[in-house]
Amino acid sequence: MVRRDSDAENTEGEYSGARGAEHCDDECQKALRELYTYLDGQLTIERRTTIKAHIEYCSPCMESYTFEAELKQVVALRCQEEVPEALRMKVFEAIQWEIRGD
Amino acid sequence: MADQATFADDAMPLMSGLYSAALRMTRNPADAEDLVQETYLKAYRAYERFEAGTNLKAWMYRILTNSYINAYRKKQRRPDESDIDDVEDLYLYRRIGGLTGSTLGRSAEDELMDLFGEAEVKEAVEGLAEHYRLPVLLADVEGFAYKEIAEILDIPIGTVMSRLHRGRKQLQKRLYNFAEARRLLPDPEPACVGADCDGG
Repeated sequence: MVRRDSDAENTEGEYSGARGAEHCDDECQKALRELYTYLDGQLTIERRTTIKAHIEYCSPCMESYTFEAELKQVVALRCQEEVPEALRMKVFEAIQWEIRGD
Repeated sequence: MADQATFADDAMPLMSGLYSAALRMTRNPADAEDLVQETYLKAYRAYERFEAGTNLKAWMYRILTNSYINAYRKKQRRPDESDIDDVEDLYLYRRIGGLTGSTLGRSAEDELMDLFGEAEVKEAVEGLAEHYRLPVLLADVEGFAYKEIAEILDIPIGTVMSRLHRGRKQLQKRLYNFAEARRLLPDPEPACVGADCDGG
């Protein structure tokens, strides 16, 4: 990001809003890059804490995190299968057969 | 060393996850049942070599996956990767994220459950190329950590992460296509780009 010198001198008050947005952009990019690693519970505690702090105040990031988390949940729920009782019996009997054969 | 006498008690509770994964792998119930049975027999016979107290679930999935790969890999055609690079991150969210947050009092999860039925999600997962399908299944359905998936599939962690990343994008695109085909989604508003909008 290139910043003109005249702006730089004057940033503290007037430009704090713009800087906030800039900061947020950069943080958002990082947060989105690590979104799935976060949802998978695979970030280091340090990164996790940083991301968590970011998404708590950044509502667009919070929204996309929530969406992806819930999509992941829906995929998991939709892919659950009930084991046919016949299969359970078959496996159990096969193991019993092996035990007797030992 | 694990005791063979406790195998049934230790391993039988894992069957529903193993069967779900087997079904997504083989895509048909008869093959899935055979695969699960084969997995349990192999596991029983090898159980004395399993180190008690370590990760039994991951060990069982490794046997399942190896059995599947040995029996079915020959039948697999090479995965079609041509359309994957076109899919951007957050593919689904960018298209339907607005819909799921729109109704008061309903969670995005409820909206997504309505949008994507059981048959569609299963078909979307089963249609993934095999080397994306297995990591996605193990991470998103079975909840394994990257390190465990790396061990189960015998690939480096970096490969697990990149396959997951691409597999999930492909999955999102497939889900979107289903919803679109069923005309569940409103027509997207045409994007207004720069000068095109002036005076239009």
